[in-house]
Amino acid sequence: MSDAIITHRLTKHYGSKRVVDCLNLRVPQGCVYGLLGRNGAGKSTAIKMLLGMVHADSGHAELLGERCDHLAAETRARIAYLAEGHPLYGWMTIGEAVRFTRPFYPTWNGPLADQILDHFELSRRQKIRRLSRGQQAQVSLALAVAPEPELLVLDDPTLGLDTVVRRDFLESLIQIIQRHGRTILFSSHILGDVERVADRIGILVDGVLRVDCPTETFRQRMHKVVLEFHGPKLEVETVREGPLCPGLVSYRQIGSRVELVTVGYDDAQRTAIESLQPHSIEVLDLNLEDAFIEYTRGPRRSLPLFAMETEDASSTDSQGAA
Amino acid sequence: MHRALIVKELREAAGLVVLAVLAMALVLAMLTGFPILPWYSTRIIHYPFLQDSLRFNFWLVAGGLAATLGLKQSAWELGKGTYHYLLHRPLSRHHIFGIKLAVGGGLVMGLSGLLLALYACWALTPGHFPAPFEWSMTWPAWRLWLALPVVYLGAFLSGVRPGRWFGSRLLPLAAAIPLTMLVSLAPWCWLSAITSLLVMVPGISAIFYYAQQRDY
Repeated sequence: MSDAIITHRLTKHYGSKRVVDCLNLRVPQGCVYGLLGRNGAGKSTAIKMLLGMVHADSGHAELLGERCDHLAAETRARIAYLAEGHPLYGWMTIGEAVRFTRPFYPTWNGPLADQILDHFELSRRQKIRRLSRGQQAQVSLALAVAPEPELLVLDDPTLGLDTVVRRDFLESLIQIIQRHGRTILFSSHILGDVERVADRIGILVDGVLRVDCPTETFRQRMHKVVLEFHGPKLEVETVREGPLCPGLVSYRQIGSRVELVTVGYDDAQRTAIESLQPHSIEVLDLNLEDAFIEYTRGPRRSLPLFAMETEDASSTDSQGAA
Repeated sequence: MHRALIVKELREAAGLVVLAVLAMALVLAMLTGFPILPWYSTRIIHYPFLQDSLRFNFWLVAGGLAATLGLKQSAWELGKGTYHYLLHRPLSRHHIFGIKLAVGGGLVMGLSGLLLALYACWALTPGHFPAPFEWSMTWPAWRLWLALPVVYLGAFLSGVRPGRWFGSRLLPLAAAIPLTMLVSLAPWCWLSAITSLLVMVPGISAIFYYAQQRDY
């Protein structure tokens, strides 16, 4: 199976800040790829570079086998792009937006556009500027899908939509995906959406693609290990700089309790953790959202206030017991 | 698809065009003494095309239209984010911006040319003004007209060219002012036309360059 999207060391700076750093990405045809990252991680810039809206400082990318900075009109017609915020001409009615977009595409599927608009109960006479954000997203989706594109690139398509509209939007997207096995690349920071739709994810952290694997693999490999200690207080540095380093994503200490987030949990890590002689070890699976949060948050420190409260509580308990 | 783009540009310019037409009608009424306003005197005190008020009013209306339309066609889409929608249509950016320029330039030149033509028709019609009319009297006005594309392109370039802050973004529009003087103060119309063309070619090239190279 060939790749619908290929990027090679794609890099972009804004001023001195490197917003996308040597992005190497391959999205096979027929794949639904969720590009994740926190705000400012570089998702939108990466997508804009793919669509030729932003020029890369170095590296290159190919969409459907063609360099993205020189996409021919014919190739562009095979790609749908939903930009962040669903920019459309507010002065147009929905009918006018359809009539404006239709002539650009020889493969325009009018009945499909009508079907989607009818599904969302959108009247052709409604002015786009009078529509809610959710309705604008629905119009954008209809306009993007009607030309029967082979590749859909969606930049945070559910941003700003309420839960119900978001669910409805995603279900429509799933139906669209099921038609002809299209390739879809979409960015999001709503993990529930990604879990529902994507079969592969990439996670951008500060412009660097840190994860590129099937969604389920990522979720299964992330673990939270909770260690309880009795006796002298454990220095967190012992954990961080100890033998756990290779798979350690983040750590946090609250009083005598240490929480570690690790990628994988194998015998070597178990042995290393046991060498710290905790009173108890609890290994928890993470859902995708927790795994994403732990992965992208990076090292975090315990808030001293909460740590003190825990200590105070434990000391009060021990005094009470005495 | 070209037709769709042309209709879109015309629709987006419609508000400005209506305002410009009203302003031009007012200017024409003032110049010809037509009582468009109840308190306006119908007495004509100037020779057609030879008075300074024509130059001032023409610049105010036609120059204003050129500058605002140029900025609206380029910067407005940037501000609204609709370039992400427009530029993803399967058409080259040269085509898209070429159509924008053709529609905008056509409107500016057409409307302002119509204003001058109507005024000239009024002046040459016997009984309107008690003085002989020669077409050569209109040359200074047409030289002003030939300078309008420079203003329009300067404004368009200001909208499409990236700049660190608003002031530096407006540099092309600021640079257009001396260039329009150069065009309009040329002693002959043919020289004005050539000067205007010589300014327009790099102006259009710069617009195409920034349209292709800038980040959206």
